[in-house]
Amino acid sequence: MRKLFKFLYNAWYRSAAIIIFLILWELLPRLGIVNSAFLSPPSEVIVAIKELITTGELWTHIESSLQRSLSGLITAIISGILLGLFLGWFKKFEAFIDPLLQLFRQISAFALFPVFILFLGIGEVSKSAIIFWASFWPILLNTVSGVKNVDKLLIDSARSMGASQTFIFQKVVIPAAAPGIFTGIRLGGAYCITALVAAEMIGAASGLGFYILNSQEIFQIPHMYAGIIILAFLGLGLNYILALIESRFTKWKKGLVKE
Amino acid sequence: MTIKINALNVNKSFPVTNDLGKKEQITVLDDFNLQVREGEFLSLLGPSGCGKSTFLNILAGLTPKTSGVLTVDGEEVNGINKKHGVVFQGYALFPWRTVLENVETGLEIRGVGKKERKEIALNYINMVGLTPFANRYPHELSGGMKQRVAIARALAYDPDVLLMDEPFGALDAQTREILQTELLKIWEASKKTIVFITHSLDEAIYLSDRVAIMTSRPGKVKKIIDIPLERPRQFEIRNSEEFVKLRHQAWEILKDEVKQAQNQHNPQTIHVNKKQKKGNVRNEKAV
Repeated sequence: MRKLFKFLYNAWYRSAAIIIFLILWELLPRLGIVNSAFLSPPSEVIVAIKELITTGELWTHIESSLQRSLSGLITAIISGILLGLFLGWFKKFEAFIDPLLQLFRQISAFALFPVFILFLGIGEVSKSAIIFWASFWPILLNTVSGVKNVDKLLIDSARSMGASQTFIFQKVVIPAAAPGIFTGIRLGGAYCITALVAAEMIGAASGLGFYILNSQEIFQIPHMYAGIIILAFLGLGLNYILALIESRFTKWKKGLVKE
Repeated sequence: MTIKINALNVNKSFPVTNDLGKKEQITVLDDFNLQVREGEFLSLLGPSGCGKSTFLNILAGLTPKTSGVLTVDGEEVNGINKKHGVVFQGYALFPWRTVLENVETGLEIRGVGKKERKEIALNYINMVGLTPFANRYPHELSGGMKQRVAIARALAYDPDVLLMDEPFGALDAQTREILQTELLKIWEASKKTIVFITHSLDEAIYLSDRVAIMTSRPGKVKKIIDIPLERPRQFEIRNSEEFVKLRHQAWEILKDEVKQAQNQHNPQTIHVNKKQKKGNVRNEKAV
């Protein structure tokens, strides 16, 4: 009984902020405090989401958004980790190339979009490229610092047992750097969604970013908010999947850090 | 008795940047001479920053010496010696490996098969009394348990020489005493050569056949004292008249060096845990 009460209380406490937010959101346009032409109440947004699902339009947009974001993100993960491991291991080369990398990472993916369009056209490739650029840097830099900051004592300990360089790299450096690498991947995932929307707002005919902008242009405001909410859930879902993969690979950390 | 480890005029110096931002050469070891006999338990005792850890790292092949001769079994030390096991003060366990996998590491490096290395590792885990924890991760263990794992890991691939760098320095007094007695049991059963670094007089005398006392930096062996206490030793031996006498004798040799070390302006780069060590040396004096 007491347990049940505690569970209910916790459930309430954890969702109260969202519930209060939804109530305010519903009331503000309904009471005329905010113009309902600009802010649709959630009840109308839910109707719009339902419509999107029943007409099947939603899946077309999610599919093209996922295709773009995942192709960009996966390329960024693979190349970011490989290059990051390389740079972290060969410190001399890293010190040489680091100023250039620091400069590159400051170049906004959005600023580069015109360049990508010049080289790659306005199609899918330039959209994937912008997503790649946005998510590549946090993955690369976190991998580099993860590898560079491996506790020297652990490496010495492996060396003292006669470990080869290959063993040290595979069995000490990579697992020790894994938490840093995953931090990078999750940051990359978040940046990937941001870049996705921007990419889809320029010269796209499908995708959630396109849908949001398009709904605003044809003044279907509830649909615009529907798109925004679905996009937020897409981001949450991506983060959840990445966190799941992370906890599988770093299960030794369980109980070590409370998330 | 045969000489296992022979150090002649070993010198170690390296450049550091001092407080004023100027580069200077620091000599950590100078004219360091020491012979360690086969199968003996030798402690290296000295004030903080005297270079005892540096000597151990050179002996382990982790850092190169600047000059001098250092041989093990008559062969010049050149890089890692696979017949050495090292136990570090900071445990140095791999946090992503379970106790069992940690202890297996050295065997894995030597290419021992999966089944065989598990069997051997479990044996050593049993020896240090951690069988129920074989599948736990290091962060689930106490400091004393972690150091037991580190000892089991160093022993598992059956090295000739065990190098221990203040292995019990970070433990509380009781755990420390228990592990000291356990280490003696393990040593008496295996008869490996042990070079044990400590800044604790009691620990050095209780464990060792001989105690080599070092000078403050640049470190060299000032005097070696024999510890003729009978073996196997029980913990109570610390209260014996003989023990107290040895302790007094060692302190007489050590005290000037401790004073000197405390007056020395130690650059930060020499020891990360310098402060902690200094604190311990002070406690020692108060006893």
